[in-house]
Amino acid sequence: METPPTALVTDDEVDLAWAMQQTLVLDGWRVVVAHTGAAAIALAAVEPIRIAFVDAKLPDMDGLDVAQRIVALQPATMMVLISGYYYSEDQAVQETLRHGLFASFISKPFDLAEISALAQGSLAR
Amino acid sequence: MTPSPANGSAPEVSELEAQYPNLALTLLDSIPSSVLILDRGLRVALASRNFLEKGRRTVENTVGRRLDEVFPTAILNYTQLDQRARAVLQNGRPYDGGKMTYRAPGVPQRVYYYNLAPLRQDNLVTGVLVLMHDVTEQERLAEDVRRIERHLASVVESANDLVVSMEPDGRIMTWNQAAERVSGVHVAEVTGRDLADLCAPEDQEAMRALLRAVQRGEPSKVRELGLCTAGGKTIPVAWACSPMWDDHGRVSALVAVGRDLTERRLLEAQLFQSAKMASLGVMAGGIAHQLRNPLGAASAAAQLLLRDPHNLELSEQCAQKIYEGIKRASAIIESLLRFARPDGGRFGTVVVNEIVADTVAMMRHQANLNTVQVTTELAADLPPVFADPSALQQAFTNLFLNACQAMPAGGHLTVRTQQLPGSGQMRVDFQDTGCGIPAENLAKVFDPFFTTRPVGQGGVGLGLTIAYSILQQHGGSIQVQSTVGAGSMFTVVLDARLPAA
Repeated sequence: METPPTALVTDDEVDLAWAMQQTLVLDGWRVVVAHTGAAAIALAAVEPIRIAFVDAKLPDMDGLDVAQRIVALQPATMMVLISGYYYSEDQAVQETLRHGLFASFISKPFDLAEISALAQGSLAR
Repeated sequence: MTPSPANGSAPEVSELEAQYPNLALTLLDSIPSSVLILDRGLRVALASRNFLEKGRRTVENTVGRRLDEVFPTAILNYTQLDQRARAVLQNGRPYDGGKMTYRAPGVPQRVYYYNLAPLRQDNLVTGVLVLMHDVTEQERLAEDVRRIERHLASVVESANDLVVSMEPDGRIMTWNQAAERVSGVHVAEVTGRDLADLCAPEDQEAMRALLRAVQRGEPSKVRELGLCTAGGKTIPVAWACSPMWDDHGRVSALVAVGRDLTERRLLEAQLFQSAKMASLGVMAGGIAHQLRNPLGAASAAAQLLLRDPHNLELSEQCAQKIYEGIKRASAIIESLLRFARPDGGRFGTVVVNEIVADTVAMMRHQANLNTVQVTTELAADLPPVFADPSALQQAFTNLFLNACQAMPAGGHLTVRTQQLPGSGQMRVDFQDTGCGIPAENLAKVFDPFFTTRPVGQGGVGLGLTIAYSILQQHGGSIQVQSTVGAGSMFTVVLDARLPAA
């Protein structure tokens, strides 16, 4: 049996991270969860990550910095920015999308189906 | 020495007259009074130089003339001088004291005090001595004094502030119209009573202590103490008390000037409420985001539940997460309602740590926006305080916001509660790692409308003023320490003693 691909969920909102994790597990993913930026970077250093969901505001770091560090470790990882603060039309979000740091942006609250769809899409890249 | 007729002794006078033959006339012309001698026919037998000068008269048109030729008829009618002189001639008793207003042709009106004395020769009254003292100046001075007294009295009476004067022992002597108006108690009801007894029961001891200090001549600060009204209400009054000193340096009276703070309190309450609404505006975004998190978690758990309803273990976990999310959202709304409630001085027993936690929860979004990390260090087993929870949260919110604004490029805010051992007090610190406050501004940060931020960027400079005022109303205090470039620490000190039940 083929090893399932790994997704990284990074959100300090524990219950939301849990719901995303359960959804992706039901979709057949192997999921690692981090509640801080530092934990996310540490996981990216040891796990091959296909897709990473990163919250924009983490207690210890800015989500954009975390994403940059992960991409530096694993350039093939697909990055998805999640935020309750930004909206997709915000300039900061547009910048990061244009620079290709993030492949996509989801604003909270979101449907879990969006998470499933984005994860599915990363497999086709 | 001028021997008076009453106790003079004849031999001495005659000796003097023998030695100085012109003594009597010299005396008459030297004393600063007008003197007339009338004979039994009430004709002028002698007029002193002073009389002639004051009356613009000559010896010729005076001496040998009847009284009605010397004085105007109106004056004689008014003073009845001739009748009185006749009475003295008849009964031999002096007439003491009468006032006469006399205006000689071409000179201003003068006021005289006159008396009449019988002159005797061998036990027979042979003449009347008329002595007239010019008391115009004294009269004028007395009138000046009365006018100044009336003026001062009306200054006190028409003052808008309560003015109360007391004996050195504190018994009320005067109570002006403002005191009557504010208290509804008439001056007659308070005269002789102790001012402290008219204060609100909880403030009576403070008023006694204040008056005792003033009696000792110690400088005293303005104190806010409640005054009981006739209608049974308590009016907040700011009292400034001072001693009155006599010429020997002793305290001769106490003066208390009180300002009715009712209107100011109303305005302050309005200002607080509008400032609170303004900070609610700042917080609104944060509250929305705070609600979004638990609602998002509950929503996600519900979606998961719908996707796989037959997984019992997962269903149970989902239901639990939904329930917790709703509980968290409710708690946020509760603390918002607690904050927004207009305060009517709703004092009660309050756990400060809870207020701090509420404040931090409501303001966390603001901190996130400013990339400010917030740490709370809350001391366990803090005693409760007697406070208005809504006002206290307002004060903490303002201090929190101020700290965030001091760190535009992010930083660290520590909110710390601590008990002050042995003092019955506790402190709440808001310590930031912001820009700090220059020494020259330290004394001004609590002043109304003092702000270092440009107009239109945030507050109007009332946040710290309101925090200061709230702490004052709580009998607490607020202080600031700061190092430019390193940060500031605002320290709130609260009394942890509860009022006696």
